[in-house]
Amino acid sequence: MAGTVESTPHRVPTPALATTYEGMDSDLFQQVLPLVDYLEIAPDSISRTSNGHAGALRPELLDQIASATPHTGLIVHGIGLSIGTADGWNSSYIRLLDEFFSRFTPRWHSEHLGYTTVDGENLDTMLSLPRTEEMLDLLCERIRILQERYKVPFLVEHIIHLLPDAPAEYTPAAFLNALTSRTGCGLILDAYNLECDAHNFGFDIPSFLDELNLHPVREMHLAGGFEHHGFQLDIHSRPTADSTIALAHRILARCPNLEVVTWELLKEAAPALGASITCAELTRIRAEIANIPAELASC
Amino acid sequence: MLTLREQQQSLRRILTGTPVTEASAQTDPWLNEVMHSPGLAMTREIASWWLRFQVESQCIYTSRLMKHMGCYATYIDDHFSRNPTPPAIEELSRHFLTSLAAHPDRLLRSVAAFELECLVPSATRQNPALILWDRDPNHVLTALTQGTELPKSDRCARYILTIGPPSDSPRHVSCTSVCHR
Ligand SMILES: [Fe+2]
Ligand SMILES: [Fe+2]
Repeated sequence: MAGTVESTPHRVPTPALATTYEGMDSDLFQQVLPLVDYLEIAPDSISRTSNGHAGALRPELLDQIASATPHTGLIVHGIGLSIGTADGWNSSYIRLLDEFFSRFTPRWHSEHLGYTTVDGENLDTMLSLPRTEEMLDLLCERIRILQERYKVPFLVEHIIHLLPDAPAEYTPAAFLNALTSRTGCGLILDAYNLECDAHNFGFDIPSFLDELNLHPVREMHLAGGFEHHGFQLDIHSRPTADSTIALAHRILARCPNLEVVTWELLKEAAPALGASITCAELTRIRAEIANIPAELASC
Repeated sequence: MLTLREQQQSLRRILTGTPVTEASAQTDPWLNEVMHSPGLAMTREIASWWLRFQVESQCIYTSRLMKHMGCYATYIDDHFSRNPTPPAIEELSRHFLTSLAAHPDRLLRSVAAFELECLVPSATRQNPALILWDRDPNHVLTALTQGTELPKSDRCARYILTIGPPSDSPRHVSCTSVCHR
């Protein structure tokens, strides 16, 4: 079991701002582009069926992305790799990544610490992984393959839990510490996911952040969701709550290598939210991440 | 003690409501905790939302028609509880639309067949696809796009929608009406 990692607070430079790209209405795209430094691309969401087989990215969306790249950076955030499936990850997602990397070189790529398929069947949801030595070995091997194959940094993101945790040999922070120290991979800290876990089963965010090695944190996610049947859900459909922004400030003040803050919004939620709220939210987050309260920044 | 693979397989069965048969899984304390946790129903509900979102985004006309008929959510839940979800979400729409080929509603069969044919990449189409309609497909698709009232079944004519070659354009769509009286 890894011990607590000392994390000295730092005054960090203002991070860049990103938002989710899963294909975008061209009007919204033109309005969003001047407001962000990076687009966070989900390859799964910009793919289409090709000849009966998944594995082709939609050319019109690749062209839309290419039109942004002179001024806007790219980062990749996968959904469907299923990195933790015992009998092997989803190779069709790897084909999507190969295709994306053949055309673009993103700043980094990332995936969730979870699994979405079992025996080739889709679970239609993402489940969390047992924090065991066996899982750690499996992840380390797969992360090394990804690092070797794509030659850009690879980051992992913790996901929310709705089911009881499987028997564990590590605390949540110690598991991430072991993963980052063994592989050199980076971390995405999702402030909203942490809040969901705190709401849904009393996850202790301050203790988690105290124990976590914050140096590998390169990116932070912000999002807004809603409560349903008593559960706070990671369905990214709303502007960010003030409590999430406050947590983001605390994270920003302590992560010396955090380069990008991404506001996540589901493609399906974008029409209901509307362009003006979307743009206002990006403008607001840009201002918030540039203004860490003095008492946090100086401590 | 379950292996990682057995743990994941058992969890998949629990999520899909399939009986967990292995003795070791039946007595596993963690799986029992999962089965009785409030998060299980929530996880299943999210899976259902996700499926509906995916299908809706790719099968726009069919999902709108089924919502109009009041059978969309129940059909999706029922269909994907009886059939495994394809590993790639892109296959979902094909799977779903194909399943509607035997639906008792004639209009729904036509709309689903039309969207299914639209998924075929134009360059690979060898022969034209012919879809029979009991009312003018132009009016049906316009009504579904605009959310206006659907046309009634045409008592005097049938319509044949043709997609694909022979024509100058491989994506060519044409419609002819056939009087059947
Ligand atoms: Fe994510
Ligand atoms: Fe996230």
